[in-house]
Amino acid sequence: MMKALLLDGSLNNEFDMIHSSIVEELERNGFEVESILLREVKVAACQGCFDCWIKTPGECKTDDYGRDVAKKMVQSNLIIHFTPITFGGYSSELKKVVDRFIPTILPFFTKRKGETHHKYRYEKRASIIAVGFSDEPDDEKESIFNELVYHNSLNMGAPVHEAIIYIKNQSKNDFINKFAKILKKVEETT
Amino acid sequence: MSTNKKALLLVGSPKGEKSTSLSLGNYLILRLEEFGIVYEKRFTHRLVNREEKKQDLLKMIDNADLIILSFPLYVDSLPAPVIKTMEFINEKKEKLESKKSKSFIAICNSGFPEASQSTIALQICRIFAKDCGFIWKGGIAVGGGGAIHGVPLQERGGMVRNVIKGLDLTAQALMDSKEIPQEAIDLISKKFIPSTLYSMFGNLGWKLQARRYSAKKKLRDKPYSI
Repeated sequence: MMKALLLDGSLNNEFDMIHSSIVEELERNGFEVESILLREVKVAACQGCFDCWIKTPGECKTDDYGRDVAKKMVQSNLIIHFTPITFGGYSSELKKVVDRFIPTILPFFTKRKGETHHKYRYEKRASIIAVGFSDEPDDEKESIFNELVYHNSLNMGAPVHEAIIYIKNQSKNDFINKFAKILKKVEETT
Repeated sequence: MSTNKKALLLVGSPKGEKSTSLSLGNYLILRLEEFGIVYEKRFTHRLVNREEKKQDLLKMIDNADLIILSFPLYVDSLPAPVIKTMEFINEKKEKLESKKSKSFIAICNSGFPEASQSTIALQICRIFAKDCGFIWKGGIAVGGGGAIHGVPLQERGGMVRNVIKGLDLTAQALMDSKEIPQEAIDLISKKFIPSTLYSMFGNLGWKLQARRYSAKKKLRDKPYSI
C-alpha cells in the first residue's frame, strides 16, 4: 500500500474542509494516509549545526518529534505540503519540519540542472504535492510558490512534484479534480 | 537617508554571534554607523517564542527607519523562526504607531556557490515588505557562505573583497535614500571560487570533519531505510 504523509501547516482551521477532501481523495485512491497537524506538535528549529551530516549521519541531534517526521518523510511515497501561501512561501508551521529534512540528504555536493545541490541519501524518495491556499488570488505569490516547490523537488529528489492552489470559495470539486489528476501521475511513477 | 536615523538589524541565524548572517549584517550596519545612523540588533531565534521580546521587537520596528534582515538560506527559503517572526510582524502591522516610512532590505547567504539559489527567499522577503507596507530597497544574495564562516568580513581577506565593495555601495545608496544598486548586487553575488573547486573542497571538508567525530565510515548511513 502506498503511504501518503500530509504535513498540515495551517495556522487555523479555516481550510479544514479542503484538508478533509484531500484525505478522502487519497484514501479513495488506495493511499494509507497519515496527517500531522503541525501547529499542535512541538518541533525544535533546525540549528544549522550539520551534526546530522558529520557526527550522527542521517539523524538530527535534537531528539524530538522532528526526527519522527523526517523518518516518516523517508518512508512515504507521497508528501503533501499543506500550507497557507505565506508571502509566496510556506507557513512557519510547515517550514519547521521542512527545515528538519536535512538529515535525509547527504552533505556531498553534486550538480543538478546546472546548480550545486546535495546528493541524495536514499534511493527511494517521495513525490511532493504542495497545496497552497489563500483568501484571494495573487499571481505574484502563486508564481513564487510554484518556484519554491520546484526547487524543493530538486533538493529532495521528488520523482513527481506539483503545486496546486486553492482560493477561498473556489469550487471544491474543481480543486479535487485537479488534485486527482496529479495523484494519477504520482501513482504511475511510483 | 539623513543622519539621526535609526536602523534595526535582524539576524535570522540560529548560530547567533557565530553566524555568517551576523558577519554580513554587522559589516553593513557598521558602515551605516559611520554615516551617523544609530542601530539596534536582535536575533530572531531568541525572540520568536517570547511574548515580551516580541512586543519589544514591535517597538523597535516602530522606531526604525531602516530594517535589515540577514539570514541563511534554509531549504530554498528562510529558516522557520524567521518566517514566524515575519508572520508576527505582518499580523501586528496595524499596531505600529509611527507613521514614518520604513525601508526594508534583506541579505541571504547560502552554502551553495551560486548566489542565485537565494532568489526565491529574497522574493519572499520582497512580498513580506510589500504586505507590511515597508519600502523594499532590495535584496542581496551571497553564495559560498561557508567561506565566510561567521568571521568578521574585515578579517576574511581578499576573498571577500567584492562583498565588501558591494556592501560599501549599499551603505552609500541607503544613506542617499536609494535602492541597492545593481552594481552592488552583482559584486556581492560573484563566486569566491569556481563551483567545481568549492564542491571539491566542500566534499573533502565534510570527510575531514566526520573523521574528527569518528563518523567518516557512517557518512552515508541510512537510519530510516525500511
